[in-house]
Amino acid sequence: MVLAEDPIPKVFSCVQCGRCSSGCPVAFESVHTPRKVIRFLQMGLLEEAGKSPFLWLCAMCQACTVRCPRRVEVAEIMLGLRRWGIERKWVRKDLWYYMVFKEMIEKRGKISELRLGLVAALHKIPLHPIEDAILFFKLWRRGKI
Amino acid sequence: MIPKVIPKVGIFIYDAGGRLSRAIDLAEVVQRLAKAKNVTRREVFNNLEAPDPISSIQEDLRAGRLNRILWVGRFPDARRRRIEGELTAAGLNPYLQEWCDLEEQGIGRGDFDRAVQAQKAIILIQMALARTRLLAPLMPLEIPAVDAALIIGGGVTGLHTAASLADLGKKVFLIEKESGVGGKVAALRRLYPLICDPHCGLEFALQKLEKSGRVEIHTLTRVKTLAGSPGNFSVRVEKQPRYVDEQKCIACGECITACPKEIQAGNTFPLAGDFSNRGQQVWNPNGLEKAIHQARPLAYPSTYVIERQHCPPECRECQKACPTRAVELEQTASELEFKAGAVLIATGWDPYPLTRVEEYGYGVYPNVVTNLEMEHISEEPPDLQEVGFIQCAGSRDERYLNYCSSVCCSITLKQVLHLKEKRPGVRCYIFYQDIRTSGFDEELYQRVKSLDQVIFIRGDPATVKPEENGRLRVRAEDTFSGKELDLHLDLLVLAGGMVPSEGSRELAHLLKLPQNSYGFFEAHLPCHPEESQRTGIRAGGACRGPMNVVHSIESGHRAAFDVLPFLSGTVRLEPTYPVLNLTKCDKCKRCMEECPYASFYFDGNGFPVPDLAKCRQCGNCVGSCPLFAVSLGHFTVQQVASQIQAIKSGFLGKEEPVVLAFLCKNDAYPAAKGAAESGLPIPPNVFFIKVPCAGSINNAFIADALGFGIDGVLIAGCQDDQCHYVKGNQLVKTRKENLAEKLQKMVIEPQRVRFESLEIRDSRRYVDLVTSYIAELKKMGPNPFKT
Repeated sequence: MVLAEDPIPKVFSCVQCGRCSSGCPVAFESVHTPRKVIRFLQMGLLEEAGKSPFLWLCAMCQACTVRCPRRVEVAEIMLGLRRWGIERKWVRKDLWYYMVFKEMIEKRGKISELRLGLVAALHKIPLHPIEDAILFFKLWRRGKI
Repeated sequence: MIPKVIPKVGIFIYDAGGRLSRAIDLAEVVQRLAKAKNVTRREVFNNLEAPDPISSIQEDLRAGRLNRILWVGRFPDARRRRIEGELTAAGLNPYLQEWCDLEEQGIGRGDFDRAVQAQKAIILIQMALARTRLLAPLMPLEIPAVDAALIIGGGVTGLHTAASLADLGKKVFLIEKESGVGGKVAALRRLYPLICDPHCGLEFALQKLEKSGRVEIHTLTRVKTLAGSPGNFSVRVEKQPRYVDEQKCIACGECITACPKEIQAGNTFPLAGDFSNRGQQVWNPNGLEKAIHQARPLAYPSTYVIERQHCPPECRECQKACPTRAVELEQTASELEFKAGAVLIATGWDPYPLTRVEEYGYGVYPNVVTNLEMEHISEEPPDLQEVGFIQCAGSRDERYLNYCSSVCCSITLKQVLHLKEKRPGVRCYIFYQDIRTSGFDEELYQRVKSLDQVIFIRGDPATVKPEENGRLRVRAEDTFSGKELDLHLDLLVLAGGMVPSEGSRELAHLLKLPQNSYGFFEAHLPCHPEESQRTGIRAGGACRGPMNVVHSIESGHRAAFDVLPFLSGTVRLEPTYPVLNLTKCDKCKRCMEECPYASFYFDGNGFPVPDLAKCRQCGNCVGSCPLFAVSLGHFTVQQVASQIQAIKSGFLGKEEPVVLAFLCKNDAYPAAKGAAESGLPIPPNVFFIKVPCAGSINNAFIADALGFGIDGVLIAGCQDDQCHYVKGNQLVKTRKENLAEKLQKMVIEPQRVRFESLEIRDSRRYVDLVTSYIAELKKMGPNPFKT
């Protein structure tokens, strides 16, 4: 997969057959199916597309790209849209984890798991350890620990 | 050889309504022509009726004072034909007359100097005169031809076309590779729009064939070689053994009872793809039959056939059982030869191998079937509750089949209608992208739409999953509501597409017929739809592209109509065919390679010779020859060269450029003519020569023109891919590149040769093009060879 700067030009060959949505493993969770996101792009509703919650549900499994009869690279477009959304500040989602991850890769070229774990643990201070404790209790009650 | 005759040319200038004399000084023109060689009479007249010039010309012709006529001026087409007829009656060969319309070259158009226009007119007349001197009398050729046609493929197209040709009194040889005729249509159960049985139409055609007695049907036969030329093809075919004597078998069926070997019935019903991995069948489309059985797909001829590869060794049961001693197990393949004037190809189609579309599980799940299998299921449907139909299964998909097969929508609608008639309670889901029911098929769509429990879902499923109870789980998005559907189906029908049949591919390879990127026979669709780029061979029906039964029969008939001239006993050829000057030829084979209709062959000495019956007289060979050894009748190299030589490149002064345009007679010439007719200002700097095709312009003509000091050469052909002679413009483009090198050696800028595409109504563009080209050439400066 090549990361494209601009996801828009590729969407116009889509004929809206719906094969991407019917084979999508996560579409049932979303208000928008991948077909709809592409349709928004075709109609020029960029903001609508960029704000779609589907983008962040997409698992990048590429099932849609493989099944597309017009060779539209759906998963790639979803990825491009995520980037767009961040650039244009359309995304309301908490992106701290993505940012930490990206920063680490950019600086060192690899992830230090300990650092990542620590950052993640400290991110929600002071509630985080308490949350974990509650979770521990639940797990213990069901015999998972 | 034509005996050398001293040309005696009569120039007749027709000043219609004084239009010419208003534009130029005609007296001066005639005076300037006074010294022209070989001219015995020159006259200006402004009335065609009285005093009648024709009768005096006829007299001169009979007396031998004239033998070539040059008509200058604008004649009405009807008048022109009449004059030609009248002079032909007086003994003048029609090819010894030349027509020079000054007005279409731009005389009297636009606001240009009278003296300059007169100069141009004189040059134009001298060009025409130079050509007239070199005209040769030509006679059409007549080649004896066989009045029989060969039809390859005994499907619905082949049978109906054969019946019509037989009606016209032609002998027809029909060859079919299966044991019986009927083709794919015989395997269908219903035809839309009448929902009728297709066997009825096939029987009807067969009865007509029988009655005419002029059709010879050969089954189990394939083409081996095709030799000869249109009008006189000789075809060798190979006939596989039938093992039953056609003269003796009475189709009583006793051998079938005796035969011990049961086999899977084969091609009655074409399956789409390989079935080795298909699970348990809910539906066995063809059933079992014996090794000796009726002819298939249609039991015509009525003689039985044995599939010898299935016979147990040394088994002679059928031979023992046969009451008429028709079984001949020792038969071998034989070869036959036919003489035919023309060949019609009707090799049809095959279903697209749907096993390739893996996501729908055809061939894996027994209740996923094709629309062809559904033909039989809908006839006697088992107990079904929910049936799904997937349209465009594999079609209109860049991964599989990137075109629409045009019939599948109507087929599905027909099957739904038929199924609902038999089982009204069945719930049908139709998954589609677009429903394409063109023309009156829309009625079918509306009828199905009005049915209860038929749900159209706009959206294709991505995958099919099996369920434990044997049903299929299909998930699809209804793209209208955006809702996801999760359906459980008993039967899933895939509407697969049509691809060219195995036989078509085989034949294209054997006869070297051009195919398009999908493997169907290629043609110039708007003008010659049944064209095969080989004269005397035409393709009709579904081997030309996906089409329904009605269109295939039409297409077959149209193809037959195209070859009728080769079936009438004689083939008449216009005398404008190519002639090779073998003393110049160095056997480079360029003409052979560039001929779009493959009409050249080698003679005994290794020289290329055009097969005149195959030739379409486009002149691409004239353009191809590096030694200018090829000439068309009435368009010889000498004639064109003399015309170019007659142009005085300095008549406007050294600074003003002169352009020579070669115009293709199909598109560019009518565009130029239209420009003059609509009174557009055509600059006096341009002269044009009409050519049969842009591909017929030899590089020598261009080099000649530039060598004589003409500043620019404009070649105008058709738009890309629109050439009536397949590839004329591509040829010009490649030749132009080759010429550029030569021009650079002559210290001539390659920009002095220009190729442009003109459409037939591009009159204004033609004028703009010429004007801008002249301006460009002015900037470039005069041709170094200009005097």
